[in-house]
Amino acid sequence: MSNRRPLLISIFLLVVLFAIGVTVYYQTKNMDWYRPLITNALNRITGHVVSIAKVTYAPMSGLFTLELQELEVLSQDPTEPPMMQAQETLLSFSPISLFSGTPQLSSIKFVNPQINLVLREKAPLMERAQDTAMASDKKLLSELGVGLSDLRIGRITVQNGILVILDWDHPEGRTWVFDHLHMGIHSLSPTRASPLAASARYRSIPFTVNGNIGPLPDTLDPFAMPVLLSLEAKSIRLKELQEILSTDTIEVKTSRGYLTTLLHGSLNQGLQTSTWLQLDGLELNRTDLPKVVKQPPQSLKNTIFDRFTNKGEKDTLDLAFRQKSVLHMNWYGTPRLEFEEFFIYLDGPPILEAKGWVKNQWRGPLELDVKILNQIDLAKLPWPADFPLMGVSPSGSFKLNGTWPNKITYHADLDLTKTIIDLSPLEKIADTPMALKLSASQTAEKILIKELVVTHPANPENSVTMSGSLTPRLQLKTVINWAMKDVANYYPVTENWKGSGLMKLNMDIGRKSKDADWVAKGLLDIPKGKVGDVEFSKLKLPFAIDNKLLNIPHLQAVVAGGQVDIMGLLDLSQKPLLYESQLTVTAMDVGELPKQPDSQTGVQLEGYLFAHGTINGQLDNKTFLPTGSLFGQGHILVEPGSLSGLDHNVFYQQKTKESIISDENKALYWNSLEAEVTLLDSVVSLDNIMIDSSQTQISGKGSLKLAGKGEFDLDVKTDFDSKQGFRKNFAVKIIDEGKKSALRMQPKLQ
Amino acid sequence: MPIDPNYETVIGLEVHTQLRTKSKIFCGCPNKFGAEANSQICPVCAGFPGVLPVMNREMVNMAIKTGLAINGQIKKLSVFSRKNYFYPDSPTGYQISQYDLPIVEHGELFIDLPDEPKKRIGVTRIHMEVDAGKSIHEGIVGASWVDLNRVGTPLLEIVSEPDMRSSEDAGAYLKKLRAIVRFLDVCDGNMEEGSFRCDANVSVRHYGAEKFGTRTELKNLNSIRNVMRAIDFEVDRQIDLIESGDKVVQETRLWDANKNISRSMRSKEDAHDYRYFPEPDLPPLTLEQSHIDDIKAKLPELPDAMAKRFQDEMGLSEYDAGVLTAEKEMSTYFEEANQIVSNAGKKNAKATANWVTVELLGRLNKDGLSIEDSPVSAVNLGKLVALIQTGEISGKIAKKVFAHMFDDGGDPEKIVAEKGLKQVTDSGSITAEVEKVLASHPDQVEQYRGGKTQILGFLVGKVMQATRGKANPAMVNKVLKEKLG
Repeated sequence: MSNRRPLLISIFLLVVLFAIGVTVYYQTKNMDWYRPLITNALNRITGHVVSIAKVTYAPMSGLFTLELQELEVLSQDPTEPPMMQAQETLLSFSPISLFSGTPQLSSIKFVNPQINLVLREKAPLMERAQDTAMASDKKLLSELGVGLSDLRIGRITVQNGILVILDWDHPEGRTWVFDHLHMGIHSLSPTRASPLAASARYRSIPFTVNGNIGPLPDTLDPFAMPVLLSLEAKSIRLKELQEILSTDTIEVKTSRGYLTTLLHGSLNQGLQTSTWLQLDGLELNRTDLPKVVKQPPQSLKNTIFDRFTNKGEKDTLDLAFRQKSVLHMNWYGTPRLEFEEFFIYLDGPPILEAKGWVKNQWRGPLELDVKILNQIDLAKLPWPADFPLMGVSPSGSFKLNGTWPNKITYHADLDLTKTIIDLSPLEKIADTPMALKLSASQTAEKILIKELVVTHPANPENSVTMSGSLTPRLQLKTVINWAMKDVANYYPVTENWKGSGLMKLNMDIGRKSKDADWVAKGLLDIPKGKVGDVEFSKLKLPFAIDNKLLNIPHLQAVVAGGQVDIMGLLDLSQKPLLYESQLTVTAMDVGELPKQPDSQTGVQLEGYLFAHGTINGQLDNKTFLPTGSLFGQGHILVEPGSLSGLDHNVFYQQKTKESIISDENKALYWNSLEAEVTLLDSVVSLDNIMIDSSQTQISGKGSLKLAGKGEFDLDVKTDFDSKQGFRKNFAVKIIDEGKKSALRMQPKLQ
Repeated sequence: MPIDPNYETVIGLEVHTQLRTKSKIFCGCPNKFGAEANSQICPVCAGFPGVLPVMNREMVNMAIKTGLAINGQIKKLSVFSRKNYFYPDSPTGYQISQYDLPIVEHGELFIDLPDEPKKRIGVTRIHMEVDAGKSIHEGIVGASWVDLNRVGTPLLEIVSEPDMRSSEDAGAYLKKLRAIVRFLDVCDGNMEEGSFRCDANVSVRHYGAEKFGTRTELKNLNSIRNVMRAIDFEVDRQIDLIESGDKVVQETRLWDANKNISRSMRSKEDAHDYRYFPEPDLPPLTLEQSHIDDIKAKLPELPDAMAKRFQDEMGLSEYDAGVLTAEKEMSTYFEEANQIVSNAGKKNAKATANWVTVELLGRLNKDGLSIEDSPVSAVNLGKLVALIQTGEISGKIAKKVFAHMFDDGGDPEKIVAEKGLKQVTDSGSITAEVEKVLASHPDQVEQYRGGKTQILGFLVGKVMQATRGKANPAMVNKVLKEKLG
């Protein structure tokens, strides 16, 4: 028996120890009686309502470790989701501190937490955090004599968390979700910086953050928390990256993406950020364009190449962005972001540099100076179909400042010489000089152009100056001074005008109401000029455009020494354009008019023309040159006048046979010639022709084609002495067949 | 000095100093000059994908030392950046450098110019960066070779303010800076081997103009003399351009030392062309003040402080002190020699300085040697000066001994003994010789006694001749005067 006794005692002791162990485990395992204590403490610390489902002892995670299950920190705004929910929160305590009366956390670990941050303009996130932290600190100090600034935590760990940022102020309610969030912070304390390492994913794109935060500021002001963090996202998950970058109208493909950002400083002292974003092998395809190649205008055909990339080979781009800025944010002021450097690179070299600052997340005042450093081939970028610029981008600079929506002002100084402009019918080919200076302002309600000046750098007398408002109601005053010979460089359809002279155009353009058609009123003044072969002077062309009707109340000009007055109407809504005009010509020296190139007979009308009549016809919508049918009626008087190149001796003497009456050294003179003129398309009909000279009266009618052919039936009465071989009364037919020096005359029987 | 009195020259220098660390900046490869091509490289040097740089602590310490030596502000936070450019000898396609947050800012140093007060030259910044490899073109037809041994060599780029106004200023600045890095033992300062390289930014402007002219950057300057010549050439060239109505183009120019001309190399890039961004593979460098203080406490004596000590404690002239502290090796030599003289119980630093700056340097220059190559060691020169100071040999004899030491080497004491050059200081034997000379020159004795005292020199010479120069001239003088009454 004695031999079995120790064994029995041992078994008994083991059973007792096991029973004690099981009892202790179950007693400590359920530590829910700590829950109210911890909940209250967390309420005080966070300033938020905190709930915990259960508190247990978690010896597997550390000897002095409590596990809080289903921790939830509610937002102060009941409409917002909970600030944080964590499936498990493990709190480990320093064993020594447990005996000091002030337990110190050696580590906190959040397992599967979700943090929800709501961005609200009226209660900025950081300011709310600051409020909360400072209030908590005061409460703790008053209750425990120990504040948050005395906090020392050996390690804070987040395991597999989710960070959700909700921008509730955005009209579409933007949301950013960062998942797979893992983070470790070592030795968080008020005395030295704490290393931080984190990784997460944004829409499946992984990124890392490494660096230091802290030391915890005495004031617990999050604005004063120093940070030194480096963020990096490398080129994986390209499909997801492409989805992020693509828009409704532009499909983005890239073969490499890379982002790195360094942040250092503190918000109240200035948080400096340096960012580099690089997208290599980038393809930008518009999804809103038809899959056809748009044909450039004929005049630009040889100067541009296909910019629409849905067809044919596409070069990829290497696009990079670099910025260095300082973000200032403090309790009282609005955040201010100051750009020390801001560059955009395309295929290597920098193309754009910006300097300046913005406040209040782009909602506040801003001041940005943008400089174009290198011009690019605009075809590389996916512009909308109606984008008017092609070829090489403009050079120069522009400036924005002001506050949106109160007032933003723009100043631009651009050279568009290398740029092709397609604002049909305004078109400019490459290397045609053009400079643009703009001073404008914009508010939510209106866009004002203080001054827009377009000049020809090589010829400064050419300028277009514009000022006025674009919105809410178009009201622009435009002054154009431009040499007619240069107009075709920018307005190619006028090439056939073959104009010269300095054109001065004063024009007011506007709308009577916001949605009404635009109206214009102005005066075109050309002191001396030429259109085609016709020279003119003192041209004044007042005009008004209203309801798509161009009204020319009184065009005046001096042509060939005579006065031309025209009243006209042009219907701009028609295609081709329809016009009606009334024309008066006074004392025009017909001989000074250019010779009709189609006239082969050598017979030319000379003398002083007086005429009045109406002309109705059609004009090409682009070139404004006559096209289609033409109808005119009027009365002409040539007084005195002559037909040079006509042999009057043959005309008066020949009686019986057909004769050629052309002779460049002879002429038929008269005191006056009158006729009723009808113009129909290319045929001019002359009725009631009355030619009166001292000894003859010629009457008749005839017609003349503008191509140079015509026939006239004339009755001639003379007082000539028949002994000299002249006829007294006779009738003739004059025939012009367009043959050189061959105006024929056929005698007619009386 | 300005070449055209109507124009003012403005010069700023960028000096690249290769640091004398044992290993390279970001890996463990040895940092040595002259090894077989591509024998000192590893995947980090060769820019293999996936490799990560590890910062060399010693380099940071050397940068701090240099910054402290030029009274610069050591920045507690500095950041490495990638400077992106393609060059065949840079395998990564970028250089790791420091851009907007360098380790040192706002330094200064004072240059010494003949007959002018010390001039302050500001140092804008010192930043750490990595050197590139070398492209080798010579002796290869239709190809170039790349040696990556130099990749990863730690460099400090020391950028001056545009405070220099002449090539002489630039030369003095480089000498002072080279002396400093040598005193600190952070760089050997060898321009020919490229461990101390200089690029000069040069512009001219009309006197009184506030705005700087367009600058050009001069490269391939492998000696201080070439730096000065290239600057003078460039100033002339720019003035000629302006005078002829042309404009100076901002560009990088290459100095051709054989032809003494510079030629255009490429248009000068701006900083934004390099697309700098923070180096993601290296964390920002943060320094504790205590670390800086530790280094400061261990800084060696620097040239300016040493020169001041030489003047204050040894009574040397400013010029002599400047010459002796221009090179670390020179000052070390001088101090060692002077210590020997002091040990002999004769403190006369001026005499030692004279022997170093006049006799020794004169002979070294004549033979095209540097102080490191001197055949006369500091100890032996000190012994020689000591022999003079103790009166054992005369200055004249000392020069003979020195010439022997320089040509054939040897200890001066032994040379003096072997050649019987020891000065006669025994008054008995000198008196005997004096009496003999007086007896054989009665006319001169009479003339002296008649008031023509300058004849004494003749008599001294005769005694010295009789003793073959070994008699102490001061004693001869004294005995002669006694005998002549």
